[in-house]
Amino acid sequence: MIDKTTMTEERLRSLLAAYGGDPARWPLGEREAALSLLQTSAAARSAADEARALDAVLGGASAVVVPAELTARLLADFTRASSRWSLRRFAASLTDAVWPGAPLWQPAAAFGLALAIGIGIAMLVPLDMRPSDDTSGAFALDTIPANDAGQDI
Amino acid sequence: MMIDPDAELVARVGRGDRAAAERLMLRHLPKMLALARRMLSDPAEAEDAVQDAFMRLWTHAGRWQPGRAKFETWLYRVTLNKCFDRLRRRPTLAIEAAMAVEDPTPGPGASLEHAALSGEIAAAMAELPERQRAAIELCHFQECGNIEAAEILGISVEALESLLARGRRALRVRLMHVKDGL
Repeated sequence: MIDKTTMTEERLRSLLAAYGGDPARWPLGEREAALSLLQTSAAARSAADEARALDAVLGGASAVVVPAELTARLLADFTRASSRWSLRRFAASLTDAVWPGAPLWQPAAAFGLALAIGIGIAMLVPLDMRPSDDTSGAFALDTIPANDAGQDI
Repeated sequence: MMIDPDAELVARVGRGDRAAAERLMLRHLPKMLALARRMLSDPAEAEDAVQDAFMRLWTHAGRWQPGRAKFETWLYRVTLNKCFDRLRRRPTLAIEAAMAVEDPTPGPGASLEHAALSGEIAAAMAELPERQRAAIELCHFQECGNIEAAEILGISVEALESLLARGRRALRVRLMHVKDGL
């Protein structure tokens, strides 16, 4: 555990080694004590100068320019993602209207069960596939229209 | 009570507000892209990692609970984890490659000398072990506080300081030729 009330040269060296020479990067709770020690210790000031030299070199890194194509890709992703939420929100509001307070799976499961029962009943009940007494359809198919009679096929 | 400057925008993004999404993206994308570029040393892969991180944001914004964590801390963690995932899946990239791909679109006024220095820094960063690189990236380049950086990395402040000190020591050795007196 770090003691924030006292600052030793050793601790100041650790701070400089980790965070560099810019006091703005030092831990807030130790900053004031570290700055006080810097004023009184030539060795600490020398260590701070060394740390600042590295900071200055690292400060030479270029700023990043964001390609316009990347922002377009991210916004296209947002549009796709938000249209999926819209569907989900619509399904949720529909569910709430039909079955208030229930999660989506409950009405979906009830609908699925009802559908399965319906299909089961339809498969179990035999269908009468014999032709009915009404033969008007068969007659119509068997009858050659008068104007086609005698034509070569 | 922690005040999160992004809380309102995140809530609006969660309701499907495109203008809010654009504002939130413009606020955070440069930082996340810079982090991913230095972590991965590959601009195309960095863009893919950032796209993955923002996709996670778009799909999770509706469930965001303000007050549990600062939004930016969460986004840093997601982006960093996407970078770590990619680093684990690939063989080590040559340091020369890191120098070659650094800063493909230098800003206006960027001199050749500046571009060369930037390449040296990128190469030196690429040589660091990934946890040290992440610690330096967060505390030095992204200017995160020590508590936030430790939270993003999921480590103690003492462990963060150890990573930083080792990372800076290695950078000093690697960049010694750039400036006398390092």
